Amino acid sequence: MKRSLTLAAAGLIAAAGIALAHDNHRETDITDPISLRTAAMKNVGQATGIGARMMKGEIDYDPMTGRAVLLTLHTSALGFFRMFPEDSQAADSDAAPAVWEDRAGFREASAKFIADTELALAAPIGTIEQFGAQFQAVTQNCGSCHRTYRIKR
Amino acid sequence: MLWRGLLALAVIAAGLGWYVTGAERVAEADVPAHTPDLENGALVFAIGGCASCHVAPGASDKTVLAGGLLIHSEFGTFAVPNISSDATHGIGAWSAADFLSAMKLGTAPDGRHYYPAFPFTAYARTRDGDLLDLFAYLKTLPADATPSAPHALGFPFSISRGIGLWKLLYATPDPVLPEDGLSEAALRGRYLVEGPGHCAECHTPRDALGGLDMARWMAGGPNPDGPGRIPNITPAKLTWSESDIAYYLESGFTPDFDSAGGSMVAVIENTAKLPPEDRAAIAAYLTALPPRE
Repeated sequence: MKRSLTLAAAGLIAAAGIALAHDNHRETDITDPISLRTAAMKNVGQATGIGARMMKGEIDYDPMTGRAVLLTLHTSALGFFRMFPEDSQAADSDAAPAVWEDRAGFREASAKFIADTELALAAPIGTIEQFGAQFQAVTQNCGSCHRTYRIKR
Repeated sequence: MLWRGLLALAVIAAGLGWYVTGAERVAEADVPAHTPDLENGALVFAIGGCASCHVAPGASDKTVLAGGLLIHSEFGTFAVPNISSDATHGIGAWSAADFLSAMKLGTAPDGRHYYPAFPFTAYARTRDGDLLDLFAYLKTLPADATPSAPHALGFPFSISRGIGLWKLLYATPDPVLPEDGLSEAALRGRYLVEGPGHCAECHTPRDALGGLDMARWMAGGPNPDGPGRIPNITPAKLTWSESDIAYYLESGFTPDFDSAGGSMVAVIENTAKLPPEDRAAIAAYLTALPPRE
């Protein structure tokens, strides 16, 4: 009886693990770096979406909104490297093993994201063309970093 | 299971005889007369993803096709060869027939089989005109004298003649999706995706012998050369609109503005160079695929 209960409990835990791995959702928790970086990246994605919609002409360009987009990306960049401590590899994380195996490269990519967003914030973005140039330079970091340091599932 | 399959393969190969495993070539006389269009050659180079494998890892100049990338697979490690215009170490001394033989039949100039890590099964669906434009374009790229490294494969994969049998089982230049009911755009997409784009090489799962599982065309599966999984891009799982797919192929951004990771980043660098109507054509084809779980 005890054994079957233990097995059932183990099964439930495994099922919960699979469910977690499947929808990749964690409650934001200050003690859980995976939850923090996942939420930060989702915000980066949403901010990028606002910038892209302006670029595509789906919404009108507004320099203050453009600046808010770049500020969001810069703020996320500032804390990003620290959200990948040594003990934060997990089955439901999309972070590639290269984040830890190639620490220097990941550090460099994270530093570049900070530097590029900083440069963009110092540049004029009064027109959509000016914003577009900065937005493109900043968002090139998404692919160049994800190529090595993020896995798809 | 893999080993049992291989044993069966070895027995069948012996039974069918040596000649079956010989390599076919495109004859000089069968190379069509063609005036190369270098601009189109550059587009075929982009959709073909040649640079993604043939540029040396870490090299910043994406036109120097010196090779050297190692592809770690369950069959062993493939070393991507030099295909720069160097006459000794690259393809600078090749004839057009050599090039068509390689791209359409997976046969090297010395008559040996290429391993299907080089996606000749898909490139075989590319039109001769596009291939000859690509060949002319490749000859304009820089020469590099880095010798190609040998593959490091275990037995029996180290016997390249076995590929002759593999080709009988898996290689066909016929289109995969039937033409019926496909729009003009989807037909163009079929050409790009099934042919030069060789999307199925990753997006379709493989069987024990490394052939594509056609019943699960584009249904995704384990990543053949790294961690993670390759997503299912049939309408069973990929529910984006055609314009969402086209935008992804241009920008790398999903409808949620997540951005592509892993080897798809290099693919998007290539698809971003295509004319917009070709990205729309790929989207039209993908949304017309039969849903597969």
